[in-house]
Amino acid sequence: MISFLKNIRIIILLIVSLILYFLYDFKLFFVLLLISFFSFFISNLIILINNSSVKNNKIIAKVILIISILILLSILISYKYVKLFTPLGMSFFLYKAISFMIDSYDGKVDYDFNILTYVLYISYFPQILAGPIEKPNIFFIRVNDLGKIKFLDINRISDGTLILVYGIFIKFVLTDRLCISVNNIFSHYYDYGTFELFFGQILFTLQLYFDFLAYSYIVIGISKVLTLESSENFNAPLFSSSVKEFWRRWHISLSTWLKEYVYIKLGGNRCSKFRNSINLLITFAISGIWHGTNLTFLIWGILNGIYQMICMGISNKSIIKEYGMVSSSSYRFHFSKNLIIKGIHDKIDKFNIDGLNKFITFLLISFSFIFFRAKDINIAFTYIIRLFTRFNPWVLLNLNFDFLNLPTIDILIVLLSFIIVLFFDYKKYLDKDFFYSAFSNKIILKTIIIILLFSIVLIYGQYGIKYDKTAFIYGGF
Amino acid sequence: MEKKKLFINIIISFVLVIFIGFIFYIINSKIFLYDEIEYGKYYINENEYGKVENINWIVIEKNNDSVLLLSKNAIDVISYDKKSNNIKWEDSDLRIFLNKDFYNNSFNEYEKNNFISIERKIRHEEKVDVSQDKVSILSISDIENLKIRKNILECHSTKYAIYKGIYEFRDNLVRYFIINDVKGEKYRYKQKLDMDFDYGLYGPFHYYSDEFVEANEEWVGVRPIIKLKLINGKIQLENN
Repeated sequence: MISFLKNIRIIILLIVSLILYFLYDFKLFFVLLLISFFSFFISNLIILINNSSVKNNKIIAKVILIISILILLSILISYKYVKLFTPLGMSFFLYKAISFMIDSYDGKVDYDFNILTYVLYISYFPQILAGPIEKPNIFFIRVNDLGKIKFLDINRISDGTLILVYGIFIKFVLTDRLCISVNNIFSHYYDYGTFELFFGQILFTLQLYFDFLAYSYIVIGISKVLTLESSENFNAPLFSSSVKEFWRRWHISLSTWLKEYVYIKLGGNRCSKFRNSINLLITFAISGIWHGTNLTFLIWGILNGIYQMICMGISNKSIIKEYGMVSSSSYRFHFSKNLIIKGIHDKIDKFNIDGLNKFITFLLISFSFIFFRAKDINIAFTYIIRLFTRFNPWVLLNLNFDFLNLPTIDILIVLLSFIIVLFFDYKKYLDKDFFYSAFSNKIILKTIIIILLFSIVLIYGQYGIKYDKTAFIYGGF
Repeated sequence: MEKKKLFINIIISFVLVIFIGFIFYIINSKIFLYDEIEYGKYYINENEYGKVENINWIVIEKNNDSVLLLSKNAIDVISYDKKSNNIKWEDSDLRIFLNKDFYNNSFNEYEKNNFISIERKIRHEEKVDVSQDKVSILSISDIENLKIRKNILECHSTKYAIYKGIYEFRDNLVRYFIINDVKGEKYRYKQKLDMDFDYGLYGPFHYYSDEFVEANEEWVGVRPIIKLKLINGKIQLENN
């Protein structure tokens, strides 16, 4: 019975996913199928060769893997760099296919899968627009457990609906209003000074985060209702105390993918400091290129790599300076002893230092996002030059917020919804499972909040004939 | 995993790769609605002193023997008319530009052989004026009758149009001129203009900036449409 239920759900989810992609673009639907079958074929072939007694089997498998990855990447490059557009979700499902092929080569595919579950893995519709780039092992384990999950579980369905509506609330009430201000500032950057441009970089960081967060919640909500869950893609990154921590909490599935399949494959940190720095730079540069064809994305990636290299340098130096750890033989002993002392110091200074670290981290990240948002390199540098040279603090004294391009009521809505989202994010920062623990089994409370949020979206949401819908930013990658 | 299962997986997936690949090849050799096609050359990434490049078009209507193509991007910035707001499409500067300068310079003789004229019927008070164009722009009737998707109606501009001063709105979307051939309050939000004029605008708008746009504005884009004949489901580029 469990197996029957599982298979029925797999087939229904697969058919829905494929139909939706077919409706989006029937030619690309065949590209999706072709990539799915091709990567499935290669993965099985690699497993077979790896397990065979053929001479040089590892080398043959590696050559097949590299050629196959190059073929898949060439498809992405031909769209991104030649046709200059990325078909819906292509980056995401190609990364999934590559993950599965690499895992097959590494011998990590020790779970049950077949061609139907694999095509579902590639095409699962809540994730196809902008991820998360689910790891194969996590996805297949969830698929195998599908039959054990009760479909009409009110608690799970209400959990999913609450998260879904919360995502819609963030998108329609908060993000799409921020979008108006950000567009205005970045379109008229040559008219503005330090104050407005500083606001611009901050608001864009928030817009990008909330936009992707909203999408992630919508995916998690739908997936929860459908019984095949999706992983979290964000874990309160705005509260990060370092750039490294930020990237652990931001777009987790992409960061994890790049870490496992690029950074570690390049040698990770198990090499010299210089080589480690180069590995970091390459990983972030690839992240930049993945986001777009424009040079600005590459600079954005490299800048974040440099941030991490500097942070790495500072943290190494500060440990050595503070605790005098120059002798490698006594390193472990000193390190563990001094960590206890450091822990006490940390508690005393936590509020001040941690708060300052969070603030600096946010400023650094938001500064790098100027490159992410600017249309070309000239605009990015002009924006930055104006940011540092056109001081105009009187704008703040005059309380002139015309540059936001929003009526006062909308500014208030943005502020209020921002506070609500930030509050829930902070709660999540303290407790990763806050959403589930806070509302678990409280079906009436959840229903009230769902109705309330939905009403707010209906009344204050940016939708309908008078508004322009804005697409999810990451849908374009 | 068992060897037998691996073998079965390999055989099934290999057959499917060949089968889907074959279907994909067949599909790719035909023209379908919303396909992208390169046809003619114009300034795209460089200014008028630079090189001309292929123009990208989107198929917005397909019949057995013809296709209607809409340029993927706003390719230039040309006023609807320099003289007056109350100008007829038949007399407009934009029509002259598209059917003379653009048509003559952007397409070679082989390409011109494939052109089919586009008929426009526009009511002016009591009578309906009919015009035939090699190159035209979208009309409100086109948008309504062809049910063109919003993501195709929304467009960005070429770099050349940016050099020429096109105004970019959110997500770098731009506005472009359309022909107002249905005139009426119902289409107010599609037109962004006085309902009685022959021209309208399509593009991003927001209720905070619902302003009137003059015919001689020099920041609005142009998205030409052309109609080409099909032979055996394809556009022939040889001398035929």
